[in-house]
Amino acid sequence: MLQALPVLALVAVGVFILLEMAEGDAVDAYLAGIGSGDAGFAADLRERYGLEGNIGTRFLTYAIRLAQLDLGHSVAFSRDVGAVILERLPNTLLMMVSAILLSASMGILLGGIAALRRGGPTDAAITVGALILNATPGFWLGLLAIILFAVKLRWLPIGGISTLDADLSLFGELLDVAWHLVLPVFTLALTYLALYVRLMRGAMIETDASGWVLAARARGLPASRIALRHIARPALLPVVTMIGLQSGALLGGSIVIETVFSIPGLGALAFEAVLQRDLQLLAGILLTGTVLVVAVNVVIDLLYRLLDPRVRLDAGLDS
Amino acid sequence: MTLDLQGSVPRVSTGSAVGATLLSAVILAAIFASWLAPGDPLDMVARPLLTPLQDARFPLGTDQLGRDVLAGLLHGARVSMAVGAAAAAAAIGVGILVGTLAGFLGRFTDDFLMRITEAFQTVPTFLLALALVSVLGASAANVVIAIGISSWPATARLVRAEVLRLKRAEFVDAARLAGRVPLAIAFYEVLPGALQPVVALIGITVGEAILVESALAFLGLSDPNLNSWGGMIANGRALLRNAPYLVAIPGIAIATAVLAVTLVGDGLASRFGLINRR
Amino acid sequence: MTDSAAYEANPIAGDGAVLKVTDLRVRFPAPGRGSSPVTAVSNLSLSVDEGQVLSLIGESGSGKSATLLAIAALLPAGTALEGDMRLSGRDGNLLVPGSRRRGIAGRHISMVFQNPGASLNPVLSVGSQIDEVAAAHRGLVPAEARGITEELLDRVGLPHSGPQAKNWARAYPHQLSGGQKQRIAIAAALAGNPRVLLADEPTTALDATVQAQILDLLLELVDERSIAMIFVTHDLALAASIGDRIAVMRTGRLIEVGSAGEIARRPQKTYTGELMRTALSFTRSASAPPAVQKPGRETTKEGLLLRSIHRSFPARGGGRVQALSGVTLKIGSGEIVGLIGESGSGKTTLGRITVGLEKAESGEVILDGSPFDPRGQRATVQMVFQDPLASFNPRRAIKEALVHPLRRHLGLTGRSARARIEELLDEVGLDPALGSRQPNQLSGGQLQRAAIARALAARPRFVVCDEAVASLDVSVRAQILELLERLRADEGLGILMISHDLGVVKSIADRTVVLFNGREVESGPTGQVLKSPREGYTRKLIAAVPSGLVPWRERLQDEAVG
Repeated sequence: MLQALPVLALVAVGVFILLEMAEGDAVDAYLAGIGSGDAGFAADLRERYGLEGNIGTRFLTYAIRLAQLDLGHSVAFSRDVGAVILERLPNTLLMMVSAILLSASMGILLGGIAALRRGGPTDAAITVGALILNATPGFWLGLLAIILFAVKLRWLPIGGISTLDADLSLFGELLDVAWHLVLPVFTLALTYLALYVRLMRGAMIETDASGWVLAARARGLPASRIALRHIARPALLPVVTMIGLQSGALLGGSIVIETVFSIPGLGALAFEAVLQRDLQLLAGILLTGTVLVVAVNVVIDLLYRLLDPRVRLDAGLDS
Repeated sequence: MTLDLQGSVPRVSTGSAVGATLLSAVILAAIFASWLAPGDPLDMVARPLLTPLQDARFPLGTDQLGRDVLAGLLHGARVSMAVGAAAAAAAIGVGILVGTLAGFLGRFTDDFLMRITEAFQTVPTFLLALALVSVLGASAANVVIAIGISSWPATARLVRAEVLRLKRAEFVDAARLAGRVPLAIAFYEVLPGALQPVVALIGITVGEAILVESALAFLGLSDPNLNSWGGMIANGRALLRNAPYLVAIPGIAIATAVLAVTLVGDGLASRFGLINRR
Repeated sequence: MTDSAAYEANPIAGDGAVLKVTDLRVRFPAPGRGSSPVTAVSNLSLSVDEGQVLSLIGESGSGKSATLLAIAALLPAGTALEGDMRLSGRDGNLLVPGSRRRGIAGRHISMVFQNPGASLNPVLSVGSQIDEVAAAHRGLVPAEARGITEELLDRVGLPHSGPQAKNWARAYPHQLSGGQKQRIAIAAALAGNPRVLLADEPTTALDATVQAQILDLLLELVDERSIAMIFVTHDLALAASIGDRIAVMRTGRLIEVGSAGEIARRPQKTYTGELMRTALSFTRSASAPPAVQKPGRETTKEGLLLRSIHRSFPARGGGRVQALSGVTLKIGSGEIVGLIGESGSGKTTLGRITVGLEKAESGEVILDGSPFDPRGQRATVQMVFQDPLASFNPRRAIKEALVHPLRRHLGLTGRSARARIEELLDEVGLDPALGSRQPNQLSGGQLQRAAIARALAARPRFVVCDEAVASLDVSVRAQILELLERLRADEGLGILMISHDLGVVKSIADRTVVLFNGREVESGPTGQVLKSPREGYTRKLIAAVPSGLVPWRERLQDEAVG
């Protein structure tokens, strides 16, 4: 967990460099937004936000504010960046976690089946399907899903996170949100599914050739037990590692999916920030997204420890 | 990044044959776009919203501004392939450089470069590309830079791991005993072997770059003067109910192009013996 | 294909046989288009009685492993099996695929493998891997089998009660040593109470003293449980010691079968005799190494001297492990010094320090009286590595590896370099035409000759051979040792022969140094060290080597008495 700190620090420095690279600063953007050009007012604002002086002092101000968890002021929303992000965070978190769980579990299942039926028609169908899904842009898949399930079949809502103006009980509200998330979560999960299918299939083929599987066969274990405990179980390790590595890409992918399905989350917020040239907000989202990815990786690390005794601290053999 | 080199494609020969055919089709379309569909694909050429097969001159129909969908498709191939290839080349180039330096220099340099690599792997990739484009401005070159910067870590980690592995090989010890200088050992004995597995990443990286470009274009953040497949989908989205073909057709083109480069990449990898065919 | 007449005529068909194999033929599917199927085993008949050990021996590619895997029904699908295999008390030919094989694996026939680390699942506790076997053959749920598991662990020397008790069942493979893992694998193989145990080189990956313990255990279990064991090995001395009978395989055929003592003393086939001669060089004291040592050498400055070398490495859990603590060793010109020790003894590190690939933390390497400078004098001390394939760049032709030492150390280029390469390859007995091949196109023996040629190219005065013959077949090993012997005699080469194999050291070294845990335990003339060792560790090491002429069981009884 501690090794995440230098990474976070480096990302913070990177974000600062990004902000410095931009033409004009937050004050310019703000003044352009309110249509004012008063130089004295601009200088005041710069002093208040620590945007004056040379690059060294600017960085110092930036670092100190960041250490106080102050992400700055959003021009587009005229509010604290932190507050805006916190409001949108739960939706993204919900979508991201569901998509990770869905794509990983489906990938493990399908990849496992493909490996066990290696060379047969089931394997071919799963592998080709995964290849095609892997090549399909997520936003396009989302649009097709809207045409089919929301427009033509009318089974699912076209977008949004909940039904507006609906008077629902707490349970009903939860159900409503889940209902709205079916399409976006499936779309997001399907675009990352292929990776897990390929990885699980490959890992299982590799463990199938391992010495312990041969030994388990020689010892006369039932085929189903060998498949689950001796082939699939060790093959989960690279898949779990990949979940952590992919969480950044998946969060990035949710930006487009959130826009397609009009879900008020971090991704859609990032898009708005870009359109409005609200760089403070964009920087805040970048930092929050990174922290989110780090958090997912911490959870993945714990899971990995559960699955692989070799990385656990040796408990000792004494009874 | 743990690479799956094992179970990519079961019948590599069939896969790469299909991939090669598709890829040549896409590349031919890109090369001959101006000849097959002269003029600017963004110009209005016919009645708006002709459905596909309605008019023989516009077999894939026209959009709401009367632009030829087929012409857009052909010119879009040019954008996708060029941006995809350039961005992947940038990403792989940076990855090779960083991975080689980290692997050979070791110690502090290695630590520092690997922390940077981890930082780039932790930042949500597409968010970074988005931020870069919005800061640098939405030109084709900047899109290439943004994609390149956000997707080099996989190559860097692979190259570094291979360099570290080969540095310990007995034949490298043998070369030291043969009196070879460290630089000669690095470039002659270690690097060629360390770079070979990168071949397996080419297809994946190009495909990824094409997808990111299309997503940026879909959000309207790619070069507005270029006719991109992602842009065509964004354009058709407004008429999703009435003219779904405007969304469907360019999407199929993107998927075809990405599928083609992935299959060809897998084929290359297996040709170089990087995929165990079991 | 069942030729019953041949079976009757076979001298090894005992009546108390638990397992009888007749006219076994194994064919692997064609490796590529246009090629024909590969016959790995043909016309092989053997049988094994209860409480008996049949040693199946052969060099690599002889078909011994294919035979074992065919009996265990572990060959990949698509392999063609012909012949007849019967278990006493069960009907039907077990080579016929299908339902007849059901319930055989683990319950009647079980197997122990060469690499104990690879034959245990790394993510499951070892206890659960025994539980599941015991349960599967008794119709139990794995949790109910823990009692059986604990009894088995007790039996294989990993007790859960008593003074040496540990909670072995809850351990994971990575927490155990190689010997302990092999004990677990044996317990798992026996958890279904099989009548036949197939052992595929079960001690090859282990150190000599550990190998001795595992052999003890296997033989005790064979006796106690009246198990019929087929013991596959490439080591004839081991085969002759442990087996009641020996079956010798070559290129897929059984060429000689008989009682162990008979074959060890009076082999019928020349091939077996040849194998026996090299294998038993350790036991037979006839060939004492030629003494070229001139008197007074010890006092001269000439030679390569390592003086009180210390070296440590960072340990996994922090801290440092001491690899070498004050080792002193001298190699004179024209002298072969044997360096023996088990894994972790520091012998490889010492070899790398000798050639300058690794630095000593303290102590010095002295060449002819002055400090050895690895940069300037690199040509003087060269090395031959353990794995011949890994010691050549896989993407370069063999002769390219010889070009560099010639250019860097001798300044030879162009035609003169090419001529010298041919000369060198010829000298080590390699057809110079093979120089243009890629490493993977040569056999292990050919590659090791090329590696010796590469080491010689710099015209060194000393060569370190780090387990240089360990990966080679017995017959090839003998040829390489002869070559080294000749180079010493002809060119006055000083050789440091690092090996875990006492036979190798005995056959070639003038003096021998025994290393244990980074310390020199004993050193002196080879004959003296190996015949009348002073130190307890050396004695243990020597006692652990199968002699080939004395059955291992007698050794067991001796130990029990003594």
